[in-house]
Amino acid sequence: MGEDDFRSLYEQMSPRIYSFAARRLSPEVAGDIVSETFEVAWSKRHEWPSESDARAGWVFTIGKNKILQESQRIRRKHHDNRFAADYATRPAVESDVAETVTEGAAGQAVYAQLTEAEAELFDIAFMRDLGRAEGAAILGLSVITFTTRVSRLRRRIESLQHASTSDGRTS
Amino acid sequence: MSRDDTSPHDELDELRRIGSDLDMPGTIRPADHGVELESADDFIARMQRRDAEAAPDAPTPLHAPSRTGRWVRVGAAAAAVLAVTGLVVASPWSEQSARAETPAILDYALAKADDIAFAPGESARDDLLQLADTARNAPAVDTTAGTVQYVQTDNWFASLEDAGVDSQNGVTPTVIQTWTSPDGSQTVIEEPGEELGPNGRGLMEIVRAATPSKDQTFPPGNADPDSVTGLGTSPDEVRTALLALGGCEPNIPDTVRASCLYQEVVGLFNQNVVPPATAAAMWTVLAAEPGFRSLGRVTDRAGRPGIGISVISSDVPEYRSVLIISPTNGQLIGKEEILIKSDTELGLQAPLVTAFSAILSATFTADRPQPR
Repeated sequence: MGEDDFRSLYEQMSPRIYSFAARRLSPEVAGDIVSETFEVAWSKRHEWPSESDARAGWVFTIGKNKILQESQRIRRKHHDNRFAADYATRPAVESDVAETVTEGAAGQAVYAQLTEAEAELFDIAFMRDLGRAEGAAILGLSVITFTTRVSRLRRRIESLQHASTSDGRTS
Repeated sequence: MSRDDTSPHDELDELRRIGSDLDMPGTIRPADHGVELESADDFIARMQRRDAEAAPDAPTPLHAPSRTGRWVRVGAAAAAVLAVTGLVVASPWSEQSARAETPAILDYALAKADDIAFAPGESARDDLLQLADTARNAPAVDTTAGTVQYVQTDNWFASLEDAGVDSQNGVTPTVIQTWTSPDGSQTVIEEPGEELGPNGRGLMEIVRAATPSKDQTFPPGNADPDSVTGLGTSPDEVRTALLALGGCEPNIPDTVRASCLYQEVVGLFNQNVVPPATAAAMWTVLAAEPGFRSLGRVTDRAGRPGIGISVISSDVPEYRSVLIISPTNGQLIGKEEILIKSDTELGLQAPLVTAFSAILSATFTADRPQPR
């Protein structure tokens, strides 16, 4: 394991962690999440998994923890601000993702109804450069579990789509 | 081709096709938002400068990977989706595959290792109802020792590189010890377990480490300590909760629903102390599912008696998943995932164990170890 391995991991995973963080926080904050994630990965480099496919999942989990910490910090800040008599409408954490990424209304409506776990799986599975084994490794799952969940998610999305269509909310 | 005919290899493509058709949210690129990520070279240079400033006399080189970091992904993945996660390590023994070293397939009364790909087993209803009775009559969980849930598992799953099973690294399953406090904070310790013998057995409970050697803690809220107690105790409540937890649609094929329940049950047992009444309700729920088949008695990888309850999902027919349930106390003691049809995409020759997990201990304790 050396710098080349770290470089490869960074180049492979930094855009993925960015996208994942931007979806959950904001595109602006996501850049910081990427930096902080890899700073932790660097400081823990003596703990790197020896298998290359495990490293993606390892660093991805660090990124998820960073996102969780940032979400908690934002919630605490919001709470503090409210009790500081700041009842002004707080800007949404999620910023203008949809303005710059092509997302249809129907797609957004379906996505919004996914559970957190389903959205997480979708975000990984929808990364088109990922194969089954890599997607499974990132989520720390066996390939069978990953494939089964993808299948289940596909059914769930179809179900939401059909429900939405029959309600006449989307065309 | 109808949707139900979709092969596992197409599942990912099919999901992406549907997502694209709906214009569902896709990858967010930094450049789209005026963000420029630091290049890898710049990042490494910055870290090297930081290291030099922090310890100019003793810079730490990049070397000597260890396995101890893998607890992070196990703990967090489990917290996120209450999934069963294994570890990416290889194991040395295989009686079935010339391509790769994998654990021996266990012999079940109704499915010998050589027949595991084809043995139909029998209806699991009677065995599951008997196991539910056993669980129901088992002693209550001792909660006098404390409020921290302690679970020890021994895990292995195949490391899938570009093709085939990676057998170059580690040859030993990995023990994961998880302590979950009432506030959802967790400590997770990963250590090498016992090497499997040629018969695929040899796991044993290890002595608990009093203090983790590294910062292996997760903050409050990382896990849901009430995920099991929140299920309820009646079979109807438990069934509804498990299906909701797994996001299982009600109108899906029997084997797909069974597979969904299988995953949720395994995930809960791997992270939580499951009260006997809840275990009894779970087996009652599963008994009503025609997708499960009993493979009969088996001796698990820790040498304990078990009953194998199998499911082959029509969504992923290449794999047979097996719950191993103790006939002594009705608790889940392990799970096995077995490739039963060769996977040309991954270059794997069936039959082949691709993952197992054995639950070696599940108790309440007083304290969660703190990092040094």
